[in-house]
Amino acid sequence: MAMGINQNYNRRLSARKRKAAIFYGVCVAAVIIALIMLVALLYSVVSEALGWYNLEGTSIGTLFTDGPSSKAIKSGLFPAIIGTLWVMAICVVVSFAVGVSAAIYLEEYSGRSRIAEIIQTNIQNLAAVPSIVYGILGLSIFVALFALGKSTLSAGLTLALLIMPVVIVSSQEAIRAVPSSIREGGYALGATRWQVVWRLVLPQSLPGILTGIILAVSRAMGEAAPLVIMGALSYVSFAPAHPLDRFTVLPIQIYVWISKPQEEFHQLAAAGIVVLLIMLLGMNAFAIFLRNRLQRNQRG
Amino acid sequence: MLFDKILGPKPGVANTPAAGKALTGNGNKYLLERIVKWVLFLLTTVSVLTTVGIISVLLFEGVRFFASDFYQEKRSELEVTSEAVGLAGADAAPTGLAPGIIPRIGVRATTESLIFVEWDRPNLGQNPTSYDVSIHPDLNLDLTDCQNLSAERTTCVISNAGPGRSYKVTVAAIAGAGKGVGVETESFSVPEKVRWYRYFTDTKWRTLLVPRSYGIWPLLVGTMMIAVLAMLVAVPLGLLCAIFLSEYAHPRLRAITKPILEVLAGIPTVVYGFFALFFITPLLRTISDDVGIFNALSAAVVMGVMIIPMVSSLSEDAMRAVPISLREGAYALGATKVEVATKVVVPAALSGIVAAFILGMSRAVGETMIVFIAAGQNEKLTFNPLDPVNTMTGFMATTNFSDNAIPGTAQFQALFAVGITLFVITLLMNLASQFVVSKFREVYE
Repeated sequence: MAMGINQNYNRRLSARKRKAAIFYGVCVAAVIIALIMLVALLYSVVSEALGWYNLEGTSIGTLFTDGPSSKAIKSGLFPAIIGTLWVMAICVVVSFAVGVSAAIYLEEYSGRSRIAEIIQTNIQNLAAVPSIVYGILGLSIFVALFALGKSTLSAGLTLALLIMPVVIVSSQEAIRAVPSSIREGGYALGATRWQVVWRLVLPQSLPGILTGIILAVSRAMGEAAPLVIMGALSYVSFAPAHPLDRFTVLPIQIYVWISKPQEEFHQLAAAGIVVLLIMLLGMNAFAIFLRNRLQRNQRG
Repeated sequence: MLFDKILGPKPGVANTPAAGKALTGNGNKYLLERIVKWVLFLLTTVSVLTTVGIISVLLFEGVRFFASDFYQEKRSELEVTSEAVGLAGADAAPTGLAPGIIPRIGVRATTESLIFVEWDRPNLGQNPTSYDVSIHPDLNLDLTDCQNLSAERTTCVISNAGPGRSYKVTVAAIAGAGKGVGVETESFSVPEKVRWYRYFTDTKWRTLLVPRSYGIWPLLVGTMMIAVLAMLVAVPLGLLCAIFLSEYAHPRLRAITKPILEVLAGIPTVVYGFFALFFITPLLRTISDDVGIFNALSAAVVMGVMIIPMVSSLSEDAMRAVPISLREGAYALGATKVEVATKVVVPAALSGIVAAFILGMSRAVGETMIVFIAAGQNEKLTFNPLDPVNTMTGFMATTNFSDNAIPGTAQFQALFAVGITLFVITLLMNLASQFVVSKFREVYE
């Protein structure tokens, strides 16, 4: 009898162990599938981009110096790159000013007041609003109401609002990570609140804040949907000269080339994607560099 | 003081009377403190203003969409019949008279109460002396409304037609007694007034071509189909990745795998659109011939891949919050690793995992560029994922495609109506995920 139970147990144990092994395999397979997807994505982009490179008459130089043209081999990204830089510059300045100020206020000034609570909930909900809805906001407020037109300024402001919740939350985390003993030390020496924030808290949390902003801005850089709604999808062959100029940005230019029927334009779009991905990679690498520096500082 | 209520206690050490007195001796410093606090507070309100802005912008045009009387033209059969009738005993030969005397008529129905009947005056040297306009079934046609737009064109306005019904209008041109008659008949349908609820009940979405129709269902079905299919990819893969990272992976392996997975979240959506259109779709087309060049499935699969890191990292956070003692208890009872993962850790972290699923779904509903590029912008109601579809976001992106949305038109306002729908759906999902977390979270000491 006891023997029977034991046998039964052993049989079930080996079945359970087999199940555990299979499940482990399934988990590993899921990770591998996800990684394969990433590799497939990069492969499809790079192979098409190489197709563009091997076309007769294309050169990497003209890709960076020329504007879009009706011929794929003569088209370049110059206006799109300059447009992206304009939009990102406006976006960084505005989201830094607004996002960091809000984070400072919420962390250092507001305490646990009811208004602060409402603002916090509001930020959480804003972060989940689809980006295309921000496009509608930009279209109605910046393009139409403020009469800024389809300009880099409208686009920069819209994207700044889009990434603002992310910037606020990451800045709040960076500020919260500053030990309170530093603040108390400042107060003990008779510093006012702003002196403590400006001379002690901000310098300490700046790398963390910057990391968050760079990651948020790199999200804004790849964003096309709100700009499409705002009417940025028109043919622009010149680089914008001032903030109120018409413009195009990299993701929009890539979309325009994807939607053309000719194969060469698809390959050109892939070349544009490679440029965009390299720019994003650069920004992310910079963010990681900052984060590592921050960690070293904290250890020291 | 209201200001003090908003801004909280005065800064620094100024709460005690003595300190306050000390600070008044340093007035500039104190003033600076107040100004800084105000500036920071004002900049903080930008986030609230953004919310107010989004809602009011959506409502401002969206309410007009639902409140305005726009008219849904019915497709009239446009059967135009014309004939030339030579009167008996006429000296003029009917054959020579026929082509010129037939009035070419057109009926334009703009609203249910304003119908324009226009016809050209035949110009043949023998001007018609009179016109006979009749409508079947009979309307009390008031011919005093007729006016000559030009020498060749006359317009009559009919102001008492019944909405939704079809009529036939006949214009007979009579060129003097005994000369001849040209008759043309055209049928038309009176447009129907569209009320706001038709947005929820109609099953057609046609904003560019007549007959226009604004029923949200094709877009809603397209959106939900793509989102659900995307979640069928993202949920199992994301959850299994989370279990792997949280329960199985060695910290060093995790430190490599997790950032690589998160690269997927950082790739711009336009790149995913490219991937869907030029890699996944051709792949699907080699499997089955039924797959269209543009189809919902490939957009959904790619969207699912995009959402994997979101589901995975949020679920993993929830699982890592489950205390190690629970796992150790299960192991002590002889549980295998799979039993610990699926029967202890996942149930304990379920609220966080479900919240991750809902947030992933909300992300899928709001995603634009993948759908815009790869799903085909086809506004037909279909449940077949191999067909091209359009989503709410896809429609919003197409609307401004070539500046054909002019403010004031129903099409422009429809953009905002769809925007409201999208905003409400994603907001509800976000609130649902917050509710799940706050209500069902298991708290461990």
